[in-house]
Formats: sequence, C-alpha cells, structure tokens
Amino acid sequence: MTATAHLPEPHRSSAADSDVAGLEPSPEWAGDAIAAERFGSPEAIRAALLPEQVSEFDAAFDAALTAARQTLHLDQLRHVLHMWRRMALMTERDPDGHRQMLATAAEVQRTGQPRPGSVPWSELKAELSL
Amino acid sequence: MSYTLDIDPAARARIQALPPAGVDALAEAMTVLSLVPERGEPINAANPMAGSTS
Repeated sequence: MTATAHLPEPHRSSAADSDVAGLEPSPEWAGDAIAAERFGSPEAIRAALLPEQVSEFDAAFDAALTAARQTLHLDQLRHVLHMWRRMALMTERDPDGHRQMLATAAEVQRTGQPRPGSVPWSELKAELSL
Repeated sequence: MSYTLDIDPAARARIQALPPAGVDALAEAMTVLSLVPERGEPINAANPMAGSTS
C-alpha cells in the first residue's frame, strides 16, 4: 500500500496561494484584506519588515513551522502569518512612525516609566472634549 | 479596576491630528485597553511583551 505524498511545491504559486487564502476566514481588521493581498508569502512579509523586526519574525515563523510539523495542524502557522502580515502592512505604510513606535515601546519596557512629557489619557481626553 | 494609560508626546501629537471619527474610535479602544488590556492578541505569542527585539 502506498500513500500519496503531498510535498510542498515552493515554485508552484497556486499551491502557496491556496494555503495562504485560508488564513483570513473572517477579517477582523480593516487592513486584513489588503495585507493578505500584499503579503501572500512569508518572504513578502519578511521583506516589508524593519531590520529590527526580522529576527522576531524569524523566531515566530520557525516556532510555528516546528509546531506544524509536530502537530500536523497549520493553525499556529496561519496565526503567525496573519499577525505578521498586519505588522508588515503597518510598517510599509509608515516605516518611520513604526520605527519610532518600536523604539518607544522598547524604551518604556526597559525603564518601566512613561516617557518624559507623557500625559494620562484622561487628561488628553478632556483636552479633546471627549 | 482600571489601568492608567500614559500618552507620550509623539502619540499625543498624532492623536490631536486625528479627524473626529478617528478620535471617537480611538477613545473606544482606549476604554477597552484601560479595562482589559490582557484581552489583546500579541503579535508574537512566545514573547507577548515584546516591543522590539532590541
């Protein structure tokens, strides 16, 4: 008895497309459809990221591939690509802003303190008459 | 229990430049964040606190 082997076909875009197409069964973010169109492969996602984001994407993608091999389920892989596709789109739309956001987050995480000049949201909310 | 959200000067400037509809949507998101910040989905589940790799 023989089993049919479903080997990956990296040069067949149709195979890749069909796998990627199932990743967004119900878009939760307005940019999901655009992100899915723009970043149909892990390679495209990676290319859109900032250099400082790449190693984190590589680690998440690698862990998801390992999980897929071990569990024979693609859920985690789909989830990772879905989330990083969003990150790729946000990065592509405003690379400087995204770089600044990452630096700010890293600084706040490192110091454990709000950045100088920060105000509580309640104060800004009042200022905006909300 | 609710959390205090601190808005840094760069974010403040961007928020002040938002159109009214954007500000309203952001206010709703801020309300959710101040009440249940843990409900958000991290980009990297293996490192949910990550702001960057640095």
